[in-house]
Amino acid sequence: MTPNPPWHAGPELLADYVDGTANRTRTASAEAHLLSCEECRAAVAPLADLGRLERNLAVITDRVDLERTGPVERFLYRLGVPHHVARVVSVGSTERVSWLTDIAVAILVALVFDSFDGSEASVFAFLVAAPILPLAGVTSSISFRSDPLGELVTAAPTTAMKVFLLRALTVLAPTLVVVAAASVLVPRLGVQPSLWLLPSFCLTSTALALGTVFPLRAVTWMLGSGWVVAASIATRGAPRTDLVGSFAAFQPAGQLVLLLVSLVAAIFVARRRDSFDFLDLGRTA
Amino acid sequence: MTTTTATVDLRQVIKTYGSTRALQGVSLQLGTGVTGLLGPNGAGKTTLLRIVATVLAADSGEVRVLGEDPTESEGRLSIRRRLGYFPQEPGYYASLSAFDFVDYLAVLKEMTDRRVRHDEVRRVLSEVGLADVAHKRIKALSGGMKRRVIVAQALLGDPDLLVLDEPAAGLDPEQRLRFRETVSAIAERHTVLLSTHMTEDVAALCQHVVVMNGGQVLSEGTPDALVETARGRVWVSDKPDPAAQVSWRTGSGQHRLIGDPPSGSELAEPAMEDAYLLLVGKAANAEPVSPSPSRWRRQ
Repeated sequence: MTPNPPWHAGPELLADYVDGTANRTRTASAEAHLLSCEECRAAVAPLADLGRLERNLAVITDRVDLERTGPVERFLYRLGVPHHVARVVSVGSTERVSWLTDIAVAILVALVFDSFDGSEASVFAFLVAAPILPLAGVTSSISFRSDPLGELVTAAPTTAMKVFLLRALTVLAPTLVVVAAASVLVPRLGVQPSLWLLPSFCLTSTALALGTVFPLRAVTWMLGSGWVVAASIATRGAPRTDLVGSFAAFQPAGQLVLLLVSLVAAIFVARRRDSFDFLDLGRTA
Repeated sequence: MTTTTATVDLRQVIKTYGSTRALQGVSLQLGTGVTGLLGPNGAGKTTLLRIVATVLAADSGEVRVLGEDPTESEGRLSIRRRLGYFPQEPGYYASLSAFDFVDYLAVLKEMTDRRVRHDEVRRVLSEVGLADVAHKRIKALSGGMKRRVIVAQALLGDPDLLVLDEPAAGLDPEQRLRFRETVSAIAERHTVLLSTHMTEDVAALCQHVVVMNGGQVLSEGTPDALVETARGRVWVSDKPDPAAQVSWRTGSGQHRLIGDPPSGSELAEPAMEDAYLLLVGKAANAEPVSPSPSRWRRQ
């Protein structure tokens, strides 16, 4: 008895398989056979449309890559944020999410305490402390030591300042949402939960502006401590029910001044932006 | 505008940190191929590379990289678009995968098209032999693999100039061999400026070598020319000789001595390490004198 000659897929089946016109059974049969038959693989290779295969592979690879991205990046991408922007924003997002959580918790605690004793002490403490967080966060995020990739980011064509502003925006937007939510949830507070925003802008932009000339860390400490000391002096002897009203920075005129100072500082930073292009900030070329 | 044709052209470059002068009027013209930068700690190598990589500005002097002036923002941007950089102390986002890490830096290198960028990330990771671990978190990779991730990001976009600051530090012998193979392959298409402590790396890789110490260039030329400077000044003896500039006991129990040999000495074939030690002398073993990053203003 002689053994059966080996079976091969045949040119018709292979052509249908490549064209995609073979039915499921014939396709499965061809695929199973191709896995084990070198001769048929050699026969099918010239029939394949390499361009189509490469396009298919690119689509599949792209989908797999997208699935591997983190939740923040995927969320931003679904919101319509371009993928490359979402990537920059999402790197290091853990720290920024925790910072936002801190703000939300601080507002909540202040509201709960004040609802018990009817004073403004907790809200006032929150309004004074809140601008310090972005001041410290912003100045440390732009300094070389705080970012492990500081040197690589500085050497990249996308300026470190652009990366920093992009990330700052992503913190600012949800912060405003949290503040707005607090105002809605406790109507008696009115705009109070948002009064720290302008001091925050002012302190941060002034620190960045001065940081192009003087050591940034020293400037940050000076401004942060100066802000707290000013708040303490302004409210010395003031009734606990009118602490916010006793500090000019939280009054309309004071807020206007802070806005103007912020704008001047922002213009100064923009004009001196080359300073942020080097590791030794403040040493313009 | 500049008329220079050198890839890197430095003239009388000075850089100081506080009262310490890291570069004391360095002048160098470097062309294509691999240039090795040799010198002890505190020689000024890293400061020099940072200036070439545009992350530091010189206090004075003239700097041209790839024909561009890094003091001008347009020139700096142009250099950065054509530069690959491996800093001395590369940082990582350890929770990112190697792929995501390199992809992030690819975005910063203005590669905005996702598919094109991802293809490029896969290419560079494959080039350094990390394709199989591309989606592992960096914190799960070995020290050698982590350094290769940094090499990979430096290769993004096929840059015209690669600045590598001690990229082989901390690698075991096998990894060093792989690293040399990688750099050799890279150097077929790129200009490479490589800083190292290790003379054997320079001998194996470089067409041009620059020896620095104390913020100054002591010597530059081909590796063979550097070795030749030690010919007739290396000898072996059974006992140490106080006249020798540098000496050490070898594994065979003999002493290898460098300096002006006394008459009748048994001269030895010089190696690059001999020539290097002859140039920098005991400074090669001295403590670092360069300022630490903590002395920088941007802290």
